[in-house]
Amino acid sequence: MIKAGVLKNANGSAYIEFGDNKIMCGVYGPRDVHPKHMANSSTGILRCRYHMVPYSVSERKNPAPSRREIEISKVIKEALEPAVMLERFPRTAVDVFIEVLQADGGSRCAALDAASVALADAGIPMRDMVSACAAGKVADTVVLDVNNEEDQAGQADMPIGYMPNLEKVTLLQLDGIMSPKEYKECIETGIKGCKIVYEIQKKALNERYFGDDHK
Amino acid sequence: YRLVYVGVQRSIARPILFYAHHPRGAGKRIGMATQLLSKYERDYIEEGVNQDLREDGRNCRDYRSFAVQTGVVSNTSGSARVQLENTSAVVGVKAELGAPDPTQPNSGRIEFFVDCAALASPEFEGRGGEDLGHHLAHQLAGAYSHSSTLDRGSLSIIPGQQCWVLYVDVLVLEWGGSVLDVLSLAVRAALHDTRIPRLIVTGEGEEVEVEVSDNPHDSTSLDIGRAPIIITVTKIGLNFVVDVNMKEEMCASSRLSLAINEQGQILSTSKDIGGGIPYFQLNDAIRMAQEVSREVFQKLNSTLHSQDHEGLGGNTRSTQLFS
Repeated sequence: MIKAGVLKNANGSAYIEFGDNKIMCGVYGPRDVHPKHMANSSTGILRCRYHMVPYSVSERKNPAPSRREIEISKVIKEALEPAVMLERFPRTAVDVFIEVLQADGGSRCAALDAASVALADAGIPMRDMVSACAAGKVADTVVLDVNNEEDQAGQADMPIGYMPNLEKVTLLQLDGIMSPKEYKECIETGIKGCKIVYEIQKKALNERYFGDDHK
Repeated sequence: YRLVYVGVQRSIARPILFYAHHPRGAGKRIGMATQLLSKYERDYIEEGVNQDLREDGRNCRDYRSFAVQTGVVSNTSGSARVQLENTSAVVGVKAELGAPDPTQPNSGRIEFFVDCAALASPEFEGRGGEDLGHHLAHQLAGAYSHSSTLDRGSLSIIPGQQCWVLYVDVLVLEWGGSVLDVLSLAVRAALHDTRIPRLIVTGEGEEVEVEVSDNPHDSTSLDIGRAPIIITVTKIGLNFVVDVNMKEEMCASSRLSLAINEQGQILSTSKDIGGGIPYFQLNDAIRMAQEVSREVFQKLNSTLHSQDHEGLGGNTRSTQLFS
């Protein structure tokens, strides 16, 4: 379930419930860059912050950003960059803030889905939506959307971010072990999942902007 | 769902705090996100308040309606979300085993952390919200510092060795005025929602063993009957108002936050912002806060009780955060 436009102060926002993941995303931009030396004179910059609240996981997590969060922030930023038309806004920044309220496996994909919807909700020109879903291998079988329990016990986890219309992969990571055949199968499965998610992202934006007229 | 106002008050023992000017800009105040207001808008708001008519049509004493939802996040011992117009926060309480404070071996502990997320306001980019978060956490901690607010004795497991530590983590999602009040409501609702697992303590002396009950329904709730809420009275022009929105906050000359419990006792006070409060007006301000707190407690309690009756409450089930 994705709901767009849930935060009143942010330029664009989205909330996603993907399995037991509950993630909030707020987008500000394009806006002035502070500190100024980070501004790029030929293109806007995209900044992303992925953060998990202390109560998002079973054992209380320290609020300070962990290495994992910093890595995921980078990965999500790089997954969104191809989609956002940053060159239209030189010397500005588009900030994407992600807060994970509840995590249960595949949160980076859910976060990316919410971020794409939030960017669209902010009215930032985009070439395509980015839809993400994780595939994986559990008990020697390629499966779609691995949750936390399956991730702990399973053999591989592969988050995939995909632009459905341009047919380009913008996020691809693997954690685990796979044969080349399984790898390809996993990507195929993941992309099928991404296409399903894309429909839900479109629905969220339709509901927000066209209400009940557009079904 | 219903919304509940939450206010947090500071401890009585604390000295009066003054906000320092933020290093980033002259006149930028910590404690509020800035909004541009023209002199005429400011005059309009002040003159209105002087005549007991606020820019959104309310009287000085009117609190806006708010919604409260409990049990919104499942990995917690208790949680709540509060929405008051364009201010909202999500609070999660996690009860974990820890060591008690050496000076209070027979008590459990409660610790507050407030994250003013960058998405809450354009002012909070980078680490802009950090100082604010620390300040709000400090105020919440102050409100709950008095021993009467929570039965800390019941949180003790093995005196001097083990106790429950309640980690209260607040995420401010939207910053739109009256934030401290909203946070205190959310904290109280989350504590109401909190369930502490039952423990089985075996052995004696050196070989004491503590086992946490596996059964999620085998738990006790917290008694929040004496937990406070915070009501902030803000001075605009000649009068005091409660529950300010963003624009009104910018017109404030000073404000007073009081932590009040259901019994009407004041647990902590904090005066903010540079201006002075005329001595003769102090009593009016305090009385206003007390009267408003009664109304707010009523709304909060009725919401929480009806959610309990509907079988909600406790983290046995997780609601959709947005319906």
